Amino acid sequence: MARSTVTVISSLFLVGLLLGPLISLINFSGLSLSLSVSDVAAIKFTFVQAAYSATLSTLLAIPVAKALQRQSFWGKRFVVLILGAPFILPVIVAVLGLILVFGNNGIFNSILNLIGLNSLKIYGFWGVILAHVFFNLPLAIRILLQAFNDVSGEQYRLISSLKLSFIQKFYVLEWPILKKVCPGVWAVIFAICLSSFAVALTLGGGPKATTVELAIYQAFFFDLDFSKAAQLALVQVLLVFSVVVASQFINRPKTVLGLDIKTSNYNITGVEKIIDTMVIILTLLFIVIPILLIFFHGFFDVFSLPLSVFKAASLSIKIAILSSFLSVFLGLCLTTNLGEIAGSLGIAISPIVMGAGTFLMLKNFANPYSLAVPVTVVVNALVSLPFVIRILKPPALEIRKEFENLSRSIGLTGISWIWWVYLRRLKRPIGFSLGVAAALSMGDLGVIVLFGSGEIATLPLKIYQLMGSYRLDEALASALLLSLLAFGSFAFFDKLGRML
Amino acid sequence: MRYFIFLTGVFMATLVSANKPVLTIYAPDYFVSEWGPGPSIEEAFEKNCACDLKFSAGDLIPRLILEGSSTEADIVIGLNTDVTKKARETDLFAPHRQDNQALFLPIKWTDNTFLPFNWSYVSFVYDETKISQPPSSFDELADMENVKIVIQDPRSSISGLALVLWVKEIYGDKAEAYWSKLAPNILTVTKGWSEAYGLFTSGEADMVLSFNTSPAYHIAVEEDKTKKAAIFEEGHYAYFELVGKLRNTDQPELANKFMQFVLSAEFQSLIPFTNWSYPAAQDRSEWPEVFSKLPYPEKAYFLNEDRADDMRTKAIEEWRAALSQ
Repeated sequence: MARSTVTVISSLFLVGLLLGPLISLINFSGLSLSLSVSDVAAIKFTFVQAAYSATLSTLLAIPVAKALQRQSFWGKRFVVLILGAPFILPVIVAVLGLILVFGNNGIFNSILNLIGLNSLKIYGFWGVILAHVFFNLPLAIRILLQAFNDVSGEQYRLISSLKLSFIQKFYVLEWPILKKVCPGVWAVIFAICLSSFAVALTLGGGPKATTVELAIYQAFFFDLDFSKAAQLALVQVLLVFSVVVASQFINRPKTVLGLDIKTSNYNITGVEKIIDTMVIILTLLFIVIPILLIFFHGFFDVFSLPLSVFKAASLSIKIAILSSFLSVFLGLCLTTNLGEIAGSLGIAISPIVMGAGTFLMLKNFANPYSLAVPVTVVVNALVSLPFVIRILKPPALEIRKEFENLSRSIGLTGISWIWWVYLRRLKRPIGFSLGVAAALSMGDLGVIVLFGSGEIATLPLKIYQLMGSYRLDEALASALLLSLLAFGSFAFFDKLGRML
Repeated sequence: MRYFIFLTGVFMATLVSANKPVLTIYAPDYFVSEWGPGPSIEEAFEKNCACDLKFSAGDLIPRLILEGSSTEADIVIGLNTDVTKKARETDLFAPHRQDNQALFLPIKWTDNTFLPFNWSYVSFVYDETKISQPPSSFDELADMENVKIVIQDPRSSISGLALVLWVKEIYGDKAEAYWSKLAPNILTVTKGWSEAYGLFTSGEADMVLSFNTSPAYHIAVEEDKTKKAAIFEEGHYAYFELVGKLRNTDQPELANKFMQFVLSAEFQSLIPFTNWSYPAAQDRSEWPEVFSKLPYPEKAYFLNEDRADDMRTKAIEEWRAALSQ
């Protein structure tokens, strides 16, 4: 009873925060209701690439997560941690890393040429998909791995004692988990890819790869047609919304609970072991090589960066910490289907419209630029919220289902229940989601900056300034610093969740 | 006692700064950053104005429209000719009241609202170690083999838009056909100048759409003489950066003083090495050698804002159609 009130209130609060900017922009400019031929083409491309990216990321994540779950090897923790890196890398850095590997003069093509094959052209539809899979595969792996790990040891033992065939085993063991987790994963990746702009255009090789977000940018900054920008933003919201709502209606089976016994003996066959090893090595190569190349490119300049870059870094850290706590707090209030739908708005709303709308909302009360830091904290928290909810919701549901009646029967309710049972059992997902939120916030430019940065200079902003002044090397070094900080905060919170 | 003096000092300092009038200037981010011209301009102007010059970084016209008449801006710097029509239509700007005769530009400047403070020619910049025979015309650019060019999207980048208008002005009805011919040489299209230039300097592309003054940065800062601008015999699109004064400024005198300052020798000589372009109110003979020695085209293309606005939608659509094949 009390919980549903909390969810409804937080959902309403959230929808207000997120839709408020869109509504105030429409209020300011009106809403245009015409789509040109190129707009329709952009909507189509946006939808198709997002669907492909989400499907591939989710499908590819299944064997990797499975392999990571059933194989134990030295350094596994570190592998799992490093696999999370692309998701938290700043976009410009990751794109450059991918180009260093898959571009014209990249390693991949050098190898192809060496063995007498033709170069592969990254720029095009599959380039966009490649980049999006690179960004989102790690997220999918982590969420699936968590779900696989949550299956009780008793169940594994029972199933391995039954001598089932491979297909039967899959059907009784993995299929229920996949059915439960995959729709949500797919929907959140779809939503992220929907608002892709710079990545899609650069790797898409030209205007074929025009997304709705680019059309919004053009309408807003070039045509000064705010009503058209608002209309396109609305289209984007509807696309995300329909997918997220649909993912809620997929019937999810119940899982069996046990006594938290961890099993390491899964009766793996030799073939499975070989396949798993290959899967893990290939994934690691795909994820780690671009990152390593960036590292070597930028590492030596890090120490000669000007002081202002480090000052910006410290501001970025402060914002990241505050916004990650806010995001996880909101996320804990929203671990229901309704919350998941409301929370997904955070990535559905175009950052441009969000920035403009927030500006319009604030300007009646105060100078928006003097509020740049708090606004950035709140907006970054909202943007990470969909991921946070996706991470927290499945374990939270499980805990409620299993422990609520038991706890009530011994009179453990309210705050003490939340403290002694709920949060304790959620500490790992909480740590993981704090890490994701902090890292995402670190890489975010901050919406208000689109219109006026005032006194606020975050690290991503410094990177853009350096790139805009011909200083690519220093920009790369700053980007490396940013990646290290993002990765560091992610690792810190993730570890904290395991330790406490 | 020491504390007393210190506190008095702090108090006096706040008093002085509180009394100083503030001149607020909206400028793009690259302009205001420590690597742009903003900080040195601020310092130079504050020496003689008894005022506090405050740059506020951000986007210019959309921001002014959102703020409307309540804007704090007194001056807006960093506009360019392709957006002046929209800027003028906002009715927020006042005449610049400077003498256009003081300008040294490749074209005759007649606008009384927006004043150019620096300029350059839109150009393709190439790496000499990769391209030994640079193209000397658009046709040669399209005929080149095994070359990888990065350009900016005209829908999200002002230099990308300049290129599309430049091609349209030269080729007219045949612009779309030209884009189809050039398409195989275009590696990719980026959101903005920074991303494209990054692809060029990191070695992924051999040629990039930029400005004929870009090589000056590599020569002056990196002592790298391998980056050059290809000069086309048809002539180049001239790219001007402009400054304008807000009609509703609460500091009209300071704003006028700043507009005057823009054309002064002090301001003008700060431009080349901070904004990497030609100063608008100096003769070629007064430029730093790195700049006066840069190759430049015979002819400058300049589209007045009405013509640019008329052509824009069609030119972009032709570009999009040709490159979407």
